[in-house]
Amino acid sequence: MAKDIDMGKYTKMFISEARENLRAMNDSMIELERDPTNKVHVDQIFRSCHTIKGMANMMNMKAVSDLAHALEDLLAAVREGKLAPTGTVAEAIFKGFDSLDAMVLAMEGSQQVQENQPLVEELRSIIAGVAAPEPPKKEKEKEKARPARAAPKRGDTCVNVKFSRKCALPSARAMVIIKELSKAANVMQTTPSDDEIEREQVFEEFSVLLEPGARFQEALKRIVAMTDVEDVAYGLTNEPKEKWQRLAKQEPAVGHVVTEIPLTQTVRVGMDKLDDLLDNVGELVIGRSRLLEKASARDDYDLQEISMLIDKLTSDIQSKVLGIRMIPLDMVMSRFPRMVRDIAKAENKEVELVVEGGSIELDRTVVDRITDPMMHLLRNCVDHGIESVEERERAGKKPKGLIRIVASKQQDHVLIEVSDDGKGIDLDAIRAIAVSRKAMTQEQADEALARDLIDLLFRPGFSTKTEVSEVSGRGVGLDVVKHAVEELGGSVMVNTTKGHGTTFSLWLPFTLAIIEAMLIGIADQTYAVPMSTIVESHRFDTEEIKTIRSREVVQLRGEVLPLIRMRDFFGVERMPERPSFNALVVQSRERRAAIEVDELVGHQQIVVKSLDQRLRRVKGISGGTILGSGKIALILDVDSILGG
Amino acid sequence: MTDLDSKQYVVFKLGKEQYGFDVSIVREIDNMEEIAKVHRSASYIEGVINMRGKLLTVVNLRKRFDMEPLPPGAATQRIVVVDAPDAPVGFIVDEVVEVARIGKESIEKAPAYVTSGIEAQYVTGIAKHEDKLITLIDPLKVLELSVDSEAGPGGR
Repeated sequence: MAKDIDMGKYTKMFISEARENLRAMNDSMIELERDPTNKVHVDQIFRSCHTIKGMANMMNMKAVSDLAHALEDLLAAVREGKLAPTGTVAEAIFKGFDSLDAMVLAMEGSQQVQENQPLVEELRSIIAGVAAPEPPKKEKEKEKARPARAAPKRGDTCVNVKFSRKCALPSARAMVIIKELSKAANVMQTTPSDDEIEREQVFEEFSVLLEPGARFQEALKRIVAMTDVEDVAYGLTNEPKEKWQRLAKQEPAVGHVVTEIPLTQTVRVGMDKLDDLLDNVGELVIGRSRLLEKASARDDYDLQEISMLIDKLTSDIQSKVLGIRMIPLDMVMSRFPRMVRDIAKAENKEVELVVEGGSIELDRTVVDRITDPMMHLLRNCVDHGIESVEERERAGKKPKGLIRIVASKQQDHVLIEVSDDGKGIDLDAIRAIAVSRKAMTQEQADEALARDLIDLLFRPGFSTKTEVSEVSGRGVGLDVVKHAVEELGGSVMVNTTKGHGTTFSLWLPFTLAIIEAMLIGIADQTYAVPMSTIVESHRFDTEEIKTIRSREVVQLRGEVLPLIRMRDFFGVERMPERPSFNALVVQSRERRAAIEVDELVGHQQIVVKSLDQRLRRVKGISGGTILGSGKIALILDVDSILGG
Repeated sequence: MTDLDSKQYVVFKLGKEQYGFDVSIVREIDNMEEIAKVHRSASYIEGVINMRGKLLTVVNLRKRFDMEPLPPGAATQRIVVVDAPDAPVGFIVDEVVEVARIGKESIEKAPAYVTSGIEAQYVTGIAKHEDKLITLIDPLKVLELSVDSEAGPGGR
């Protein structure tokens, strides 16, 4: 009874812990499949499975614990060497993981968790195939080994509570205690009885006869912590009272009472709280700029010293908060080997996935949002990139295809490369389709460079038809990948060699929240240009402007750069002609240009704020920030400026 | 619309005419402040302002209704901030007149010759209030029905 009280937060905890364990299990299982004799992996899976079972028991999630139990038995057989973790056994174990995952998902969606009896039977029959079903004794041993089950099972449990003499209203206190106990146990009888308590009898001690439930120990701890309660003891009615467990007031954690797993020193915090914190830090960073500005303008040594201190502390806090939001890429990448394995199996291909650089940490938001694009790319690699075994042998390649994910740090970006050694993209096939779709004329297509042709693949709609994916081996929803990456302020590049494979390079920022930027002025407004896009700033003489096919260009150390006048771009009146002008040389995805600005204001860290969705598609800006003065600076979107 | 007999409206001026927003979706009324102009956005979007650390999109109702822009520096101008489903949006008005309680019986449907086409969808009624005629509009509809023009490079 009373199991459903305030389970919400425990459910959440269960879900996240179960997920973590499932992730670890999947990882280890893939390793195990590769190296079937390695006991370390079996142990790891077994432990995780056991944890899930234990938690599910506490939550009264029979469907989950039954399945976990069956898996555990199967794993025990594997550990003892009775079963090899390959073929159907491995498949069954994976199926078990998936089913557990589905159950967790159902719990998350507050849906009815369905028992998976057929799978439990299947697992059992596999075990039965090798040996007689495990003796029940084994399970008992396990039960005993777990400290969480310290409460005895046979006989009736009795809890004895002694009030302090100061206790003013023992009856009220007793009612509270009974209520507390009934949350965690099945209360059968109390002495004095309910009626007597209600009649406000004066008593110093009372006892409760009950069947303890899962959270019994915690309830006891709460009771012993109450004021007016002097002493709590519990034990079996058929045992002498001296043997009973006593919970002393001062040390509520005596003896076996500790039910928690040895605690790691961590706290779970919701992302929304971190977001709020980051907002505050953003404001703090702005405040600091103002403080520094004012302090440096005054001849006050003390003030300057304080502002230096605040400056340093602010930087520390900022980097720590950003650090907290960082999670390793492994959090998503560890799912990939399993996924690739499944797709390859389904298509009768042999594929090996190698992941490098999984320890690189990125902002949680970035990691979250690249998961889907990466899965997309991988699916593409297996689906269309890697050839069938026969095809590969015919081409003189190893039968097993290789997909590599390599993540590396590159200055202020992270580069994730997804490459395969498959058949590559057939550019001629794209040419043919481009012409048939009237995206290009025949001449254009013939002259088109690889880059332009590949760009077509990223266009929405161009690649959705199966003919492309069949012929060229690429293109299902690449526009989705591009869109997601660009929304994060990153970019995608593709390199392909026919017959040898394809590499997708994703350039991503570490974090979205705070960036280095150059402040510039255009037509009485201040704008911020992300430093990551700036190559250099330069003052050109107006005479240096040349035209090529009526488009303005300038030259810098021999390089010809298109000149984009920002006032023209924004549709505001040009500045009166001057002998020279300020420009920034900017770059995005290999393209460079000089952009003319009115003035260069300075370099600063800015907190990126998003724009209303009504303004998100506006060309030339990607967001905004609030400056120390309280004024807004819009952030220039260099990519869209270069693109047109 | 509730079944109550009367509702409160924020009544404001655009030119000579008076308009009203249902007070229940008005979050606040701010003084006019410096607007960061967003070039190449839809023409009726004036730009963004700093609303306590967040960027608030501001719509110029005069432009939206194809009226002549007000000469800059009019001291009575206000920004009426309305709760839209995704994020609040500000509307620039010439002057906020009052918050008026208007009985249901004094609101009529807009006659077809006054409003036509799209307009008919965001004009929710014409109210007679103390000898004045107030055009009641649904600001959310105004935004919704403007979505189509958002991608166009305005400002040229």
